[in-house]
Amino acid sequence: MSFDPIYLQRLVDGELDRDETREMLEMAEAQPALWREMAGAFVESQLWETGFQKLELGIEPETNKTIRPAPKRFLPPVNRIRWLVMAAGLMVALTAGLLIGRFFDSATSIAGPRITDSTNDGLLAAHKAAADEAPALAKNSDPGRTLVNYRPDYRLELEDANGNPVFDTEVPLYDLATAKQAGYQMDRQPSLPPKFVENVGKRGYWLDQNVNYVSGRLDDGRMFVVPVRTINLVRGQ
Amino acid sequence: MPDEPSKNIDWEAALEQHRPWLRKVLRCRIGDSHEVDDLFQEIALAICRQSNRESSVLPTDPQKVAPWLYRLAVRQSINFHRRAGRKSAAQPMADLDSYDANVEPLDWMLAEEERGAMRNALKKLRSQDREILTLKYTENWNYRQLAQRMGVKERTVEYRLMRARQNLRNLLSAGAHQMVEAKPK
Repeated sequence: MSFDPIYLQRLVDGELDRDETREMLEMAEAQPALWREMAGAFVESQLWETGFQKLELGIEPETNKTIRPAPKRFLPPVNRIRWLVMAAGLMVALTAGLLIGRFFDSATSIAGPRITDSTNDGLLAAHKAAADEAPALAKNSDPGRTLVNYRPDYRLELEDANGNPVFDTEVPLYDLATAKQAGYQMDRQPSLPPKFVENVGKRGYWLDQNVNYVSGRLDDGRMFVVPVRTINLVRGQ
Repeated sequence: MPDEPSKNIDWEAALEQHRPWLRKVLRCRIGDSHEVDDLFQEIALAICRQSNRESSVLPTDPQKVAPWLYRLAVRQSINFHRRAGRKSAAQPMADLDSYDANVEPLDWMLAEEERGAMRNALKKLRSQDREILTLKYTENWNYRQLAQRMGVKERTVEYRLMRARQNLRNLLSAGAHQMVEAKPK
């Protein structure tokens, strides 16, 4: 005779009430072989609990490395390049913001009176008018595209501290739609062009790429998450 | 009809509150800790997307937050395996480079052997079994608490625990037999 496994498990897990516990102890008293079964279950549970807790210590590494203090010592060339890349990126973003801002300002101010009988015509008129107003953007204009899809093309050129080009190549910057058309895996790895990555590898560097997510809350209560991509040039394999 | 998004539930706080055990669930089902981080971010994104929708499926009852997050974590892990083409075998527990110079070498070896047997058995255990045992033994939850988190009845928890323990027992026993047979005579 042995215990019902369900009751034995409940006993070990402390899920039996007082009456049920007494009943089991009386059964064990009547049949001493059941004591051994009960003791075995308790020992097994204790060992497993210890085992899981010891193993679990190794499975929860804290991986939130979102803040990296800047090095205070002499900056090696790779770090200089990184700072240059960041500075160039900021410049591109600033320029893009200014140009797009100007473009939209001029588009909205001129588009109103020119909208005729359909929305597409209105957008097209606004697009053309904005192109007249902003010659720098006009060369990128495509009459078939709407304001929503409009993106000027930018290229990022890497230079070292002396103004010499790094890796003899330019880094094109893509918007999501263009990159998808070009076949880049933008959903998980909004990445640099393969040719650039290949050139970097040939020069003895590799790219350490990480995405961290910064979350926040808007005034209206909605949450947002912004992916922040960090790319470091690292020397060696 | 889907619930309206609740304004009373602070999802950011809820995610932070449930993060430790949800990570364990993902870890049991996925293995790789970096992938676990990615999946956890996807859970946060899924919540953001839902909270911005007019017809959101986010629960309004605070009691249902934990089981909803659990289901979301399970779904994300299933999607992960689909994306990975079912190639990624879950590696439940990381190897511990745990040699402690203050411990007697023999004691350390015995303890390491014990851990190794447990690790090997856990690798072979079904992810659902691994998950419920991990939650039971590391969170020290009773049946009711487990049932609340997993969104099932206490009887279901009881049955799953019994099955998981039996499977682990079988695997440990099989591993012990293999070790005995492999010993040189």
